[in-house]
Amino acid sequence: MLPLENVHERLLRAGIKPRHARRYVTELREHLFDLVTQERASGLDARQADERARLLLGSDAQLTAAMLHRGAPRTLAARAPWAVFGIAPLVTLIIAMVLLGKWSMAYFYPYRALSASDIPQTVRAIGIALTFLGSYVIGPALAATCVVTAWRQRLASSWIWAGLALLALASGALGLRVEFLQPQSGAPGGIRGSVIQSTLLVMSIRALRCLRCRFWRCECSDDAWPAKSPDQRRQPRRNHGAAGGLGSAI
Amino acid sequence: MVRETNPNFMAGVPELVILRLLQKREMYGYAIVQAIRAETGDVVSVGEGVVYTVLHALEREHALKSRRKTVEGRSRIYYTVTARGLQRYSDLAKNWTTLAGAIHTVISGKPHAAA
Repeated sequence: MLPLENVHERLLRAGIKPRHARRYVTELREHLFDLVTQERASGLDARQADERARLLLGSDAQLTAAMLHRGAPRTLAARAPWAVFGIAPLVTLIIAMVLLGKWSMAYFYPYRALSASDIPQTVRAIGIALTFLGSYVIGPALAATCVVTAWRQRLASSWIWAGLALLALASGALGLRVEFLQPQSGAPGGIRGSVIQSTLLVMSIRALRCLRCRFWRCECSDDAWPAKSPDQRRQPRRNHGAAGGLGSAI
Repeated sequence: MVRETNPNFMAGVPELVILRLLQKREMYGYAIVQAIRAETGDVVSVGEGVVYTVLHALEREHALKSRRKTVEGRSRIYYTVTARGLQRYSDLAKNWTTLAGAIHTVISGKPHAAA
């Protein structure tokens, strides 16, 4: 273990920014080296010089307290873990999904009337990549960022676990999905996109919209649970816009 | 024997001395501690490790700026005083001069001259 590693750990656990803690300890190590050299030059042997230098520099507790007493900058995660681990990942996920959805709508719009077989291979590949990114990359990447942040700052807040659980739920409910539809039973093909993947979430949003209509007496354009005929249930929902389907709920 | 510091009476002194010393030349932490001892005849003794907390606090206030520099094979962080640091030094020196004058008046027993 490097000298003064305990000081580094204590500062991180106290919520000091890792960059500041690292720099402080680096400078202390350099200072310790200079002190040892000075003591060796005064005639002490290696062990005595080490002990004397360490005594001159101060104990781990003193060095930690000095840094904390001076009001060294603390990380946002230490000051407001609820914001960093609870809210920020959710907001980031939603913003990422909305931006990806909007970009997808703009990109796929010119191909909206084509069936899957007529859509260029590159466009299909981009659709698959976007689906993979939206469904399997963004959520886990945000979770990994939270875990790495917590580990780097030695945080032990229950907000980390709560935030990860929320993120897991949100990642399961939100995810970009681009599908290329083949013409079927007389219906033309096209591109279907969705941002919301959870039926429960879609139903909740629709229910909220209907509640709003009941309270404000506005025109409700969407039934909460529209009745479908057996034929409608069998047929996949088609949307010839670039990105629609369940995504229209956002 | 470990050198004793006088923390209660030292409030503001490390900043003052460090800002003064760094006006002459850029220095790194160990050199600053040695210079303080040498310049004050060991009367003012800043804790060896504590000097960095003072330096970092001054840097956060933009009174100092730092850069990493390699001299004789050793890479160290050197500090220099900024324009804001000069202003800070001027304020601190003025306060300490006033305070020292007042204490001197008390010690000598002469009444303080009316302004």
